Amino acid sequence: MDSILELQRVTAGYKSIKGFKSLIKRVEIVLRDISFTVEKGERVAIIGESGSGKTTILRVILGLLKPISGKVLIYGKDLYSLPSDQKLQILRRIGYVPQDPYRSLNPVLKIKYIVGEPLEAVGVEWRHIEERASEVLKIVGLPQSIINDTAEELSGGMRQRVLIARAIIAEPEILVLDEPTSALDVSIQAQIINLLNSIYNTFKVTMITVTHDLGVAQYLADRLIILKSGKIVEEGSVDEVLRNPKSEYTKSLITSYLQITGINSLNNIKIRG
Amino acid sequence: MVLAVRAGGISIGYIDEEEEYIVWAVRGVDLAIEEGDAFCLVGESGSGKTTFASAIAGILPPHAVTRGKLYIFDRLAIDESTWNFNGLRGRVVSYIPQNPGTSLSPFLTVEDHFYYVLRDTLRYDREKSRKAAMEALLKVGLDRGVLEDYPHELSGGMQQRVLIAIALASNAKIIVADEPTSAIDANLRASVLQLLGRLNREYRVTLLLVTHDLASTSIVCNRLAVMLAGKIVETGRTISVLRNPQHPYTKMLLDCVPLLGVKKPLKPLPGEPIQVVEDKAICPFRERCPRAIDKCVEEPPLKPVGDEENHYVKCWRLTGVESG
Amino acid sequence: MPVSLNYIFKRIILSILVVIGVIVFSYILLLYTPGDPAVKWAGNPRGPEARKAIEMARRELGLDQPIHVQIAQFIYHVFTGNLGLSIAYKVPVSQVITSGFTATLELLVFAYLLAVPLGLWLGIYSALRRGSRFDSFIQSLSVVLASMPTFWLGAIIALISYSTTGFLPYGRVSYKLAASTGFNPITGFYLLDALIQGNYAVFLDALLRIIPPALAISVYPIGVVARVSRTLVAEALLEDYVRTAVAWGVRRNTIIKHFVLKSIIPPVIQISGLAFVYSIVDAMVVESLVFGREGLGSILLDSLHKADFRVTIALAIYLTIFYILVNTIVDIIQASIDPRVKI
Ligand SMILES: Nc1ncnc2c1ncn2[C@@H]1O[C@H](COP(=O)(O)OP(=O)(O)OP(=O)(O)O)[C@@H](O)[C@H]1O
Ligand SMILES: Nc1ncnc2c1ncn2[C@@H]1O[C@H](COP(=O)(O)OP(=O)(O)OP(=O)(O)O)[C@@H](O)[C@H]1O
Ligand SMILES: [Mg+2]
Ligand SMILES: [Mg+2]
Repeated sequence: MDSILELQRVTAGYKSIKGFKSLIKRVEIVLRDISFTVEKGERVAIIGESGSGKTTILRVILGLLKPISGKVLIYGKDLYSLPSDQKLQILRRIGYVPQDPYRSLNPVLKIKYIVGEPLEAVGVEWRHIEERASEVLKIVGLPQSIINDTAEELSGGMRQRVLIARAIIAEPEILVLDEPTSALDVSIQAQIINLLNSIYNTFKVTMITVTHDLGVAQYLADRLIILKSGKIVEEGSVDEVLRNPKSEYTKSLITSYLQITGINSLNNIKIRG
Repeated sequence: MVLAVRAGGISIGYIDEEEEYIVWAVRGVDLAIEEGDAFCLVGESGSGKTTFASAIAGILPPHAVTRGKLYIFDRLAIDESTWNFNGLRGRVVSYIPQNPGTSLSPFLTVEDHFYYVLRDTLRYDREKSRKAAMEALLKVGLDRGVLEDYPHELSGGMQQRVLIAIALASNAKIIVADEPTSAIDANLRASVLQLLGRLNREYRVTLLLVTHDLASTSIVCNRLAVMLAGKIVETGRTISVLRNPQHPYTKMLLDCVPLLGVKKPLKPLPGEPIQVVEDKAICPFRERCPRAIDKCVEEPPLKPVGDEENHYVKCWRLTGVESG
Repeated sequence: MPVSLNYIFKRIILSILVVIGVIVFSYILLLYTPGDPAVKWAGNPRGPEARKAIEMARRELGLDQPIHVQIAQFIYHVFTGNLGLSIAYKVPVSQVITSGFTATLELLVFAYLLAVPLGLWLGIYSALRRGSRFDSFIQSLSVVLASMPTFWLGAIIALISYSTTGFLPYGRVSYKLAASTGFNPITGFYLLDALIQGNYAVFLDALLRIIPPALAISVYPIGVVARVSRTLVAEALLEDYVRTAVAWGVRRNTIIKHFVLKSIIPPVIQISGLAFVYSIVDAMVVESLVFGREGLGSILLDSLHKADFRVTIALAIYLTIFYILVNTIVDIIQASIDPRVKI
């Protein structure tokens, strides 16, 4: 099997300056010794509580945050030791859907510029970009008519589709999604889940999804990586992890989840009435 | 029986920027929340949940217009187009806002947020507010370290818990929580919901929980209302609405909820939520409803369901009109 | 304070580099404008002493040296404030400039201490009463005032002052009074000096004379700050965090003081900084042409009249340095107020 992405003992963090200590910089470690591999064509979900460093992992993968130690290998190449043009070349093969569809879209840009941006960055001619933009809009199920509108008027679900369209326009081989559904309501969430899976099936991408929702992960991934306080506590296929969780954290996660959704997994769980 | 919140035919709209039209977000809602109730408002995005919640919290924006009446503990807070929330905000009603990312001032530390709120509502001094803050933060699973943090230094989930902690600290009698768990994981979600449930049961805090997450309603709330395009289409005891949903919309909403360990295909609702500009009396689900009939161009009344106590639904199909 | 020393250090180094660039540029300008720079630097001397003066200027400028040495020397001279004697006043150029500078700076700072808080207050007040009569009055007034030339406004103020009180605000202080009370300026900021020496008569006199020109100068920043802060406050009031604070029962005053004001201060400081450097020219015109105060304006006019080339060049260089300094300080203050800016 080809490994497409590999993190080797990555430790990463942010420079933190707080209060009167502001004059001395120190680094707050967020990720500790993270290693995992993603094979070509896999669907992996990174699960973790809020603040556990999920978004930070993505920043590291996307070349935005240099780890303090450890390596990020994409297609076998060490991302952070590549010269910048080669680094860009590699990063272009990754499509990214950021965390918050309400805040990640420039409200004054026309949709075609937003969606076409990844192609524009590599110098594709506008004629082709527009064509391609309307193609991907069709794929994500948005009407052609919005191509000249701005994002301001769009609903959350439509915004998320625009972001997905942008992520896939340059035909990436890896699709990275940060909480793709957590800002959306359940019915739109279901639409987006179905859309992402149809994209996965048609384009055979490798999909890395960050989510805090086990239920969503179950639909968007085959393998789970469970994160707690910046460390990986469990890793395995969805079935394996759900049926036979090993870490205490995963167990409590599943119990809590069942507790919350109790009513739906039929009438066996205590409900207030 | 004391009513904590009573809405009498309340409609809330937003005047559009060019002042050409009004978007009606809430339309003629009648609702009574008893003291000690844990009331849940569910519905899709844009259905008017936040609008209704912010009316109770007393923070409708200046370009909002209202009709009808809203009482909070028998105080007339909204009377047609006049609003009076003096003395209610923070003391009687507290609020957990929807967007954790933008609801804390970027220029104040978490501690300052607590201090200004508690000083102005409960007349606490720095020390007392710090103590209360630590207690409240502990309840939502944060440690005192975050007190010195600025909001941007916290993750989304941490910000959300800070918001919850502040709302709890002021000991209000009603807590309006707008999607309080949207940014946190299952573990925390369960504990936050349990915390809200406990406040409700042990301290008789009246709870209005706004969410689109039908699943999370069951462990906290005893009553539930389903909102669609500004109208309440189904309401009743949580258990009876979830076990025995009547309105086609409620049924379809339940089909979208992912279940752990059961991999059923998800069936999204067809179509996009609509904005209501013309407040016409038609069934709000008509265009998207697979079971719509001719009669649905008229607005159905809210009718009781069978023998279930307090379970009402707004649908012609369930009131004997079968075809048309 | 979220700004590291590192950032401040970087900013200062950067400003110094820009200043050096400016100095080099002026020097090259000096070399390549028509005419012998030594003659110009000596102030186009005539008569028997001319040759000697030109020789001296040539040596002073090091025109016999290679160009990079010349430039290095010139930079050194600028930084040590050693730009020779003023041709017109026969005192060191640095002294001429410093005295002018303190005079104008006193006026400007006085005007801005008046203008920024007042503008801020007006802006906040009208934002809180948007659409009210007060608001629309302030709005239209600020448009009218901002479109009046400052020197004209100054003249009107001087006129009003003269016709109502019989007092013509002319000069910085009455020299008779200063001499008779033994006033002895140390810092060159007369108000400050008078206060330090406990000389209240001079203080009052200087105050009466500084108020009219300061009023004229402050009109522009009042308008700018009022407009900007009105918009900023109106926007801030719609922020989620303000609405949330309202819902939590935070009082109106607290909201304005701690939630709204904090968010508008950084941009207001920035705008004030920009307005400040813009007002320098205003101040130079008004103080010299209308109110007969000495300051940078009178020095510039004098130096042009008397072909005091050294002073003109030095003035240009030091003004540029001052611009850069103000901008740097404003940036540093702004960055240190906003906790989100981590540098
Ligand atoms: N730009 C930043 N500067 C400093 N610290 C940061 C920054 N971004 C995140 N952090 C810190 O890093 C930790 C992990 O944050 P991260 O955003 O990766 O969490 P997350 O798992 O994505 O959480 P969430 O589910 O809430 O989005 C948190 O403690 C947060 O406070
Ligand atoms: N401040 C506002 N100004 C103008 N229109 C608004 C405003 N807030 C909401 N609306 C409109 O009112 C309608 C109801 O919005 P509301 O925010 O109450 O819905 P919601 O049910 O809370 O949705 P969500 O689940 O997305 O939070 C929408 O059509 C929305 O566009
Ligand atoms: Mg995140
Ligand atoms: Mg909402």
